[in-house]
Amino acid sequence: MSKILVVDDDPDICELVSFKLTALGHDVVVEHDGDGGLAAAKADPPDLVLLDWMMPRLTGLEVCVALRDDDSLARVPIVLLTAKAQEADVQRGFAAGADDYIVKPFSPRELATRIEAMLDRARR
Amino acid sequence: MAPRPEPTVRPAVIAAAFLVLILFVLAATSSTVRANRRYVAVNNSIRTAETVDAIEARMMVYTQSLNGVSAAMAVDPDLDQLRFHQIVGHLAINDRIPEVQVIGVAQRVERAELNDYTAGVKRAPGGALGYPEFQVHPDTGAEELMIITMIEPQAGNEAAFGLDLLSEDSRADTAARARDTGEPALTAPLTLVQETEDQRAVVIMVPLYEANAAASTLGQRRAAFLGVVYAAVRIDDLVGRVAADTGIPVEQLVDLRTGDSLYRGGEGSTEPLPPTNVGQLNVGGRLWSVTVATDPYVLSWAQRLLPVLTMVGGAFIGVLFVGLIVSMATARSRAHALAIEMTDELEALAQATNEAIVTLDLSNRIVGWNQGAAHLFGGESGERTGAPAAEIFAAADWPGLTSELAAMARAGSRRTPGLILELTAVNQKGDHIPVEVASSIWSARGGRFITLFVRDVTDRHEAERRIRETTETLVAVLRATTTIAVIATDPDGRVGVFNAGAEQMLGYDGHEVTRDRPDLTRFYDAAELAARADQLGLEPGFEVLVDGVAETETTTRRWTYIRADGSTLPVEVAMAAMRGEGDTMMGYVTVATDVTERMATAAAQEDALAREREMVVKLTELDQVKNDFVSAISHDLRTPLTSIVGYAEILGDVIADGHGRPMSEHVEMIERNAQRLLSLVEDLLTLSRIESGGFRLQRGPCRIDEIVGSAVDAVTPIAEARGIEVVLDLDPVPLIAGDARELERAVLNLLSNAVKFSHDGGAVEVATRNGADGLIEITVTDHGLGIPEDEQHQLFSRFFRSRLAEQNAIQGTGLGLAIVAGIVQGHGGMVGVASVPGEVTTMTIRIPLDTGGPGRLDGDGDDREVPAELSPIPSSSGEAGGRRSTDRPRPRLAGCSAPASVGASTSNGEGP
Repeated sequence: MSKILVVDDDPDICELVSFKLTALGHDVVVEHDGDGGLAAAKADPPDLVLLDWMMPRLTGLEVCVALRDDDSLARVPIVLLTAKAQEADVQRGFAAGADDYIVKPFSPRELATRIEAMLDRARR
Repeated sequence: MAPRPEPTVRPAVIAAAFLVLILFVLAATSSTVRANRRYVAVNNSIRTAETVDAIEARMMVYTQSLNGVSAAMAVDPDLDQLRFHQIVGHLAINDRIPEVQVIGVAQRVERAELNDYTAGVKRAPGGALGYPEFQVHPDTGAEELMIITMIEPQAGNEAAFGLDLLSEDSRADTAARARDTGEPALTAPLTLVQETEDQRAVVIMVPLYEANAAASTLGQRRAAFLGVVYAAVRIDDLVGRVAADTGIPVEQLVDLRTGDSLYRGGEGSTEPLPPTNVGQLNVGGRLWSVTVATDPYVLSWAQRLLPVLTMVGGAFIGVLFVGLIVSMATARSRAHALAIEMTDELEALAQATNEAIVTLDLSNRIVGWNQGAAHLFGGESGERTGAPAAEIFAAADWPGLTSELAAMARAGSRRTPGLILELTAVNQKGDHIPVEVASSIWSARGGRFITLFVRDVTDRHEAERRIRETTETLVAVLRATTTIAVIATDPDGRVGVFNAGAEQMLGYDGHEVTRDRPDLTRFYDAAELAARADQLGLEPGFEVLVDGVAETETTTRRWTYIRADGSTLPVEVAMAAMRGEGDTMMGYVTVATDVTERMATAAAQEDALAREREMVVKLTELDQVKNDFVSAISHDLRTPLTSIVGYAEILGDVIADGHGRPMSEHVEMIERNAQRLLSLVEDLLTLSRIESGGFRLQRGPCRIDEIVGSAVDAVTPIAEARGIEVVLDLDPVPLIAGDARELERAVLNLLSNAVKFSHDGGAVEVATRNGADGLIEITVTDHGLGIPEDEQHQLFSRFFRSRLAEQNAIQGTGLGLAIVAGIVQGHGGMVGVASVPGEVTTMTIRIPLDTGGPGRLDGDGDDREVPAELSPIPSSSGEAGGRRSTDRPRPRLAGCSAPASVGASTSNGEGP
């Protein structure tokens, strides 16, 4: 069981991801904006962070960069979950330090599979 | 052409005849010896007289030939060697005067002109007629020369070609004499330079003067003197010819003045006879004595047959007398015939020329004319002979011409050339013809005659008239050119021409300018001139203006003119150099056009260009907005889709597993997100309908309170979820004719924006007012982020999104307000915004009670202009704020079903 931080300003998406991951036995923490997400990560470092891009206050990319700058959080896997689907956006996402990039709309099943794989790898 | 001179018996001959008669009467009655001697003497004196006459006749022939050449040269001063050859050919010297060695022309040349002159002869026109070998000789170094330039025949006389006559005293003296007297002059005996044998010769010179110069005084003759026409005759040939003519051998010829012996022939007479065999004659200003040999037969006959002679003396006297007369007449007629032949030749020459040549006697009657005259005046030669010359000239000209002719007659010299007069000739048809007349007076045995050389100058006058007309046309054009300034200057830049255009452009009086002749630079801006001078490295002045003109012939440049009143005028000045004959600089002409308008046009073009650039920037911005929109819309569409797809998948899994959380919750989320998608799509469709013009209002009676109520109901769940209070302040307003559904959509859009941009727990106020001017106002006020002032003007543009919305990740497509504007305008109303960012924002819809506009929404372009036309309405928002009250009673208007207030506490339990 891993602790996963989900940061997205859309409550329905948060609920959806949370439902799926909880069902798989993970401990899910939800935040609705960048500031909150960053604060939550620092307060209690998660095993994995799921980040939306377009959010009030801090954007997902800014949170991503900030996490990578924090020594204790630099190695935490980060998955960007965003509606920005262009190739240039994907590149920017990875450049900011993301480990994976999932475009909305996505299949919760696939999301779960990717997260499991990433957690496995991180544990090893 | 010329009257034939009638033979006349000279008084000397008559006197001699009488003398002979008397002598013989005396001889017959006195001693036979004396009679005998006297007989010989008489015989000798007759022979002498005959010889003298023959020499004079020869001289006359030479002189007349030379006069012919001279007359031809007066007609054609530029006569060349070819023409000279033809003229002398006409004289047929070989046949008629074979004793003449050469006829030539010597021309007076100043040393200063010598090189040019020599060069001219060397390359004389006509190619083949040039004489590259021509050389002046001998070179005496004198200031004045008289060079033989034409000789005929040339063969055997080449040595004379180029001879300077003044290099030898005898020739020089003779030429001077001819020049000063205007008469033919004869040299002392001399040896010709081309002579190869031991032969002596004399040269007869006839002076040449300028064609129309006065030559009646010594001074005038010297001034007009051009040179001489001359003939050289070997003395032996002359004597031989005379002897052949008379049959009387000449014993001796002596120049009495110098004592030179010209000729000495045979053995001199041994008989001591009376000197009756010696005669004197004046030839060409020289006094010659001629001695003839006594007839040996007469001598012997007289000595031996004296007695018989005495007896038949009377008869003999008669016979002798008759013989004398016959002999005299023979000599005369021989000379006369020759003169006639000569005249024929000259006449042929006159006939050959196109020039009209008319000969008059001293009473101004026509005595002859050539073919040219017949052509000019009409009528053949004979037809007009004897007619007064007044017939062929215009009456007005006649007095002038007669006085000129009379003056010429008085002056008397046959070599005095007449002036050239411009007169009007009248032909047989009565046409007036402009002519130029040169006249010459000459003598013949029949008296003195005047020859008029008349040249038709109609063509020349016509050409002159054309030139004059062209000039006048140009002047008129200059005068009529009032919009272009034409200014011409001399080479130093002083103004000489100043046309009407220049007057108008510069404000000066053209007459004053051309009188004062100011420097051209006066009309130019001094500062500009100085700047240009600096650029060219010149002193400021005219040189600066004409820079480059000499090389390129014309230049064009922008300058600034300074008007008389001191104002400036931008002009474009074209400048050209005016060159005269031989490429000499005559001055400059400048043509200036006012370029004020052109510059204004250029400025206007610049403006248009700037506007176009601005437009491009706007379009680029719009394109950016569109790109942003596409990006936003795809994001906004993906987000609800994510929920729908995701939940549907989970539902499927849940159903498959048969356990999990309640399905209803998931279904609700699917529905809600499907709804979100739907409204997004609907917004897009609405706007596209408005923009494509396919949007029709469904008009009907509308209750504004109901409309507002429905909108509030729709927004309530979202507002409640964020603790936002929606406060109503509804005044009763009348029914309006409108599309309730669309109006509700407009109000809802404003409301959902207000909620969207409010802080959690804030308040949104909605108010309706029955405003002045028959307008109904609906205001929606919030206290959220607000709209920066610089964005307010584009708030109603399609796809526009506030940067605050972007920064705060507030979802939206930028379509809501564009739709509001489209709907409100469709109702003939307007929508406005008043915002203090971070404090308060009030959106106002104003709709007229009479919406009577078209039932069709046509938002194309209008929506963008709306904000600029609307003024913010802070008073109503302030008023609304003042009245804001959570406990305000529900609207009292009957039928108003709008919910008064939706409390933040109201919650359906579903948090975000």
